[in-house]
Amino acid sequence: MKRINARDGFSLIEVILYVGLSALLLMTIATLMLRLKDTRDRLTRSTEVTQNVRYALSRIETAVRSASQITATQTGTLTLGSGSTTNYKQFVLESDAIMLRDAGSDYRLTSPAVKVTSLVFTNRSFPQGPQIVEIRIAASPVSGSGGRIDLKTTVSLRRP
Amino acid sequence: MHKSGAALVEVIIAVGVCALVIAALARMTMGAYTGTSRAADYAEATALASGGLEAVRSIAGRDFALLVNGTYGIGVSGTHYVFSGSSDTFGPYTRTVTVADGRRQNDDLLESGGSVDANTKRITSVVTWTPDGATQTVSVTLVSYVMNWRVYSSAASSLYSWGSSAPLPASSGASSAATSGGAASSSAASSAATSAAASSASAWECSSGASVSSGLMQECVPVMSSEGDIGGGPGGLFGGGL
Repeated sequence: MKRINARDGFSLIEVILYVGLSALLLMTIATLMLRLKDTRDRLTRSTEVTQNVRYALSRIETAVRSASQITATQTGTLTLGSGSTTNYKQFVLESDAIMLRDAGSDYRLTSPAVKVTSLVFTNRSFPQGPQIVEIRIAASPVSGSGGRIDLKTTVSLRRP
Repeated sequence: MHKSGAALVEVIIAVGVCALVIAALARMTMGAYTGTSRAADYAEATALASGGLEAVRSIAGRDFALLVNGTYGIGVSGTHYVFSGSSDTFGPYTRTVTVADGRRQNDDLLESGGSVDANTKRITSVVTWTPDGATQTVSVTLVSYVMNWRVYSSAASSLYSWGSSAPLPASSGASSAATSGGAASSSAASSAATSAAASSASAWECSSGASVSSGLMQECVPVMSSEGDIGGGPGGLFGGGL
């Protein structure tokens, strides 16, 4: 009986080794998983911020290109005119979101998960040259780290 | 009988192999994440590069003669854009715009060959940066053409529509004469200037010359999408290259 037990089972040393090694392995895997999840969360936030800012910027660009004049620019507000209308569309920074103000109604262009920290419009038109506006948008996720975006671009009017 | 259990050496080898596999998987996954997280960098860089093209368009709209071949940075003088130095920076990004001759053959724009059209300039806007944790720089390159609209607009009124093919000067001799005429009339044409803002060039886009040196992106994508187009989901712009 005793001989068979000794041959068929594991010795104490073997069991300790098994347990020790598998503990190490499991800990490594667990750490890895946690890091992956953290990275994925950060990436999700970053993608959301980027996507929102790009969308808002594309709406602003489309509006600027189809406008016939830049009525006013100031920090956080861009007013565009079309034909004889001096306030055809307006983009404003309000409660951490970029809003499109069109015919008296406000349309939110960025999601509540995104905090737009800065929206600056600067009129760079020459007195006798094409109308052109510089846009700077900075945004970050409402909660969590990473995912900050700081974007600067310029759009000119295309319509005569 | 002794062989029925696993030997110590076997266990150690098994654990070692497992560790190697896990490490390799981790590296791959992390690498993919790092690549995707650079989408924000590309968005910022592409916006800056397209801003460079617009700035050149603005300078050309003021006076086409200001577009002298060379490499410049974009600066601000007073309230408007000027060429300044050989590059300009915004955050981690360095931007250079290059003005080169526009070349044409049978009214088609060419990168090389053909003949020089004095009323067309080829503008290349390059934004370079070093991503976090990387040693090599990456860049975004946008190419556009700017035309002397004063010459073209006097030739036809249909120019103001987007993407119309602009009537071209018949010969280089005629076009250079037109250039000087256009420059001289720049102040007289002030009222037209505001209305005809750089309308001669077709809606700008990333040409076939657009490239990203890192190879992450297959080709350049226009920054502006049409109204209501949100794009292809998370990382839609750059996801394809990863």
